[in-house]
Amino acid sequence: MNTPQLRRAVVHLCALTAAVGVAWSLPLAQLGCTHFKEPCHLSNEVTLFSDPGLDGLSGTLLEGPDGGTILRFITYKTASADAGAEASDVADAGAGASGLGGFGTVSLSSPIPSQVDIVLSAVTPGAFIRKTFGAPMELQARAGSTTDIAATYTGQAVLFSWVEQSTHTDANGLVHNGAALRYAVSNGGASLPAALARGCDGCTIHATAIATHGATFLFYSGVQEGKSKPFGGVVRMDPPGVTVEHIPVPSWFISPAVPPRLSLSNGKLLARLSTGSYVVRDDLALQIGPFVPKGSAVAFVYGDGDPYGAWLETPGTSASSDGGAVFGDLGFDDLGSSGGQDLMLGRYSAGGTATRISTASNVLGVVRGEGTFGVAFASGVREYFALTGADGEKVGGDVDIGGTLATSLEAGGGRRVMRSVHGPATFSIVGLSGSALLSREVTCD
Amino acid sequence: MTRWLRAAIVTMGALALGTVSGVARAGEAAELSLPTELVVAADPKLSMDVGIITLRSLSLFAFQYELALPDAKLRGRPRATFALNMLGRLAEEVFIAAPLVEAEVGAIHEVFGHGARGRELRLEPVYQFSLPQPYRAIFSPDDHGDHSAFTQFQATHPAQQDRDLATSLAGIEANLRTAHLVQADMVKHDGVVHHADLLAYFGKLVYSSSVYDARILSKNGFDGGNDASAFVTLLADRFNRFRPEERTSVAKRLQTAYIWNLMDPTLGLAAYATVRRVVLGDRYVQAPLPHILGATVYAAPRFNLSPFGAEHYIDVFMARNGALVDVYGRVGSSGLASYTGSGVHLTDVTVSRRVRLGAELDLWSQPETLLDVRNAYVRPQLFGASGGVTGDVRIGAGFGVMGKLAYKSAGYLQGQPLDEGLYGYAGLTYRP
Repeated sequence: MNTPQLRRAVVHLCALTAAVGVAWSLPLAQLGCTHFKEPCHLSNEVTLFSDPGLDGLSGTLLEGPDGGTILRFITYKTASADAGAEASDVADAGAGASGLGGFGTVSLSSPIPSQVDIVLSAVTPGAFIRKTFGAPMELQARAGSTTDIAATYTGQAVLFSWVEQSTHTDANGLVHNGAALRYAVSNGGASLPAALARGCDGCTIHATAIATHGATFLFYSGVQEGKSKPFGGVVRMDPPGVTVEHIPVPSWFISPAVPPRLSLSNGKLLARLSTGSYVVRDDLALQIGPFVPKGSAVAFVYGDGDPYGAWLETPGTSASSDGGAVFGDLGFDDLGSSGGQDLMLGRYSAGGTATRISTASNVLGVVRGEGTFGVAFASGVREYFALTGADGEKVGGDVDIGGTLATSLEAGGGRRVMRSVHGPATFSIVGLSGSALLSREVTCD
Repeated sequence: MTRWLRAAIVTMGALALGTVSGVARAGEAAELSLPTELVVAADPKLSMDVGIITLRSLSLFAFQYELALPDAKLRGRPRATFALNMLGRLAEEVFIAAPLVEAEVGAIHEVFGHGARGRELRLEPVYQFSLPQPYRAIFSPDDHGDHSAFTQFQATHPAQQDRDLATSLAGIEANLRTAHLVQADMVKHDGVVHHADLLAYFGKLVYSSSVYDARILSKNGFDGGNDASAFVTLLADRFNRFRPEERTSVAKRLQTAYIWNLMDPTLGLAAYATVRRVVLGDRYVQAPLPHILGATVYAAPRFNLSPFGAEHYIDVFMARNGALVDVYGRVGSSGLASYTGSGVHLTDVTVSRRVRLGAELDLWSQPETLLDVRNAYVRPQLFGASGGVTGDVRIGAGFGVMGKLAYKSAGYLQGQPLDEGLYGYAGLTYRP
């Protein structure tokens, strides 16, 4: 083959290659060969509320009505037996994916609140209402032996509830424990006198409260000495402190050791007990359950007749090691991220499947849109948002929504910051930064 | 049949074929040689190709020391002299040639593999190197680390799969790319190749033992990690195969695919060339490549790791009068995505006494590479292309200039930048 022949052969080969390339490209073009486009983006970040006077206090975020946010700050009394106790929030029994839950489950040495500040913030920046509710005198008079303290914002008032522990010794020297569950409603001025919800000798009582958009419930359960079967009940108030109704609760709802963790989602009560989790209607009739939440840092959402959750799982592989990883003879030095768990989204009903949607170090919240789920999560020092379809399959990538906020909110034992959603394509992710309430809005196409 | 056995049989077959091929030309190869050319190439980011071109050239240039040694051609000499010289060459191979090539292969792996991708992605790579063997064993007897070299990135970025995958596989990719370029040069020179180039050819087997190590099938891979294991882990992660059994499946696919890397007659030639160098002192060997219509023709398998999994190439080389045509097709086998491609590379076509030109075209279809997006598991399938020209001009007094100017769309192409845009390099050549 001479040189012209070689050149001709090369030209023919080039033409053949180009033809093969075109043949590939044609069907792709017909399919609409378009570049990746992130469906969601951070569209806005606004300060909804800021008050330097609240700096240093620890707050809790809750989902409020009409897309608003409730920010609750608690001031503790510092006198008597609790002197020196740090002003800090306590484990939040009701801070799930949504709800107006109270707080409770505190130990005997926990501080006694003197007042609760509620900031009711709307979606509009600067539009907020701040109210102060003084704790009932009966509660403030306590110097110790007080557990299960809860302060539940009902929309107009705050329902305070607590369990007073007592002991007495029989003439024969036997020591008995007693408990009294009391509650009182504070309307912002003087509190109504405390009432007894349940009291008993030789028993223990645990309690928790939650306010739905219709009524406020004070749940309790306990166990009598010498008996294995626990007792329980619920005080339903509508409005709080005025119409009071004692109603029985189903046996599965009664957990003697710890009170149920309650949250609201789409008008349904979600109760998490040691035996599993349940979805109940407003009249406390069981709708779904029990189901066992998977993983850790679980955030719940309810939709389409099923409970859904976002949670963290220890990865089955090291693929999710987000930071400081060393790959063979290759090292990544300080990638600025320590999130190393699989972030899962799944349905809890029988046969429900779960899908991994990212890698994360904490779940911040999950919301249900129209045919979508939005999940906010943290990975190391950054916060992200991920969108999925109704089947849980992820759409697009992680949307970086900024640095992590208010780690103190998350440091108290797995509490999650509530995030609110409004509209099918806009997700408002509200977080507390110091004494400011920040809303990060993610808009999706 | 176990994978180990299958791999062993394939490797032995390749070695046998290569050995037979080499023996066939043994008699003719006694006085083979090629002109030595020093090439120093550079581009703004000191990319993979410029590193391979430059280090290969420097390494071959360094092997000029062989000319200062006693005449290697000892056939017909007394047996005692023959044995002594063979022992001398064995010592030379162990204490000079092998360390030189290890340094070359290691630098290509770290500095122009991991490092090149790191520079491209602004990750600020830094390196650590140990002494090459056998000096490491002699002077660092307490160094029991798994790696003789190490690349670390100092830049702070959130984890991102496409970037992490590209940088992680780049070390092996660079060694595989080197092997491809050695093979291309071998065909261009009618099968003649320096034994040091073939020693470096073994670099394509880096981490091959890890690929067939049982630990790669475990849910976490190797405890200490290595490039092969990390590749599997990151690949599974990138395609959201997060369950342990899914990672194992990805690893098994790689083990099967890797057989393609072992089914390489040039590996056999490399083994033969090393033995021949020690026994007979031959600096060059010639592969018995077929000739069709006056052109040297060679069809060879090529293996590669891409961000989508293993790639299998068939290169058809044709060379005549110093010009080389490489027509290839490539297809992926990971089962995680569809990724295929083909291309034509024409190099060193003599235009005048001083000027040689070339042209290249690459086409591919693959999932979109997203370097700025985190955890996007579903991507659009994109068609991409790269086209460019190469040139080599002799200036005089042995000096010359060479270079490449190309443009590519975004996407993965072995040894080339990931992003869209102009790329290429320029270099100085010196032929004493």
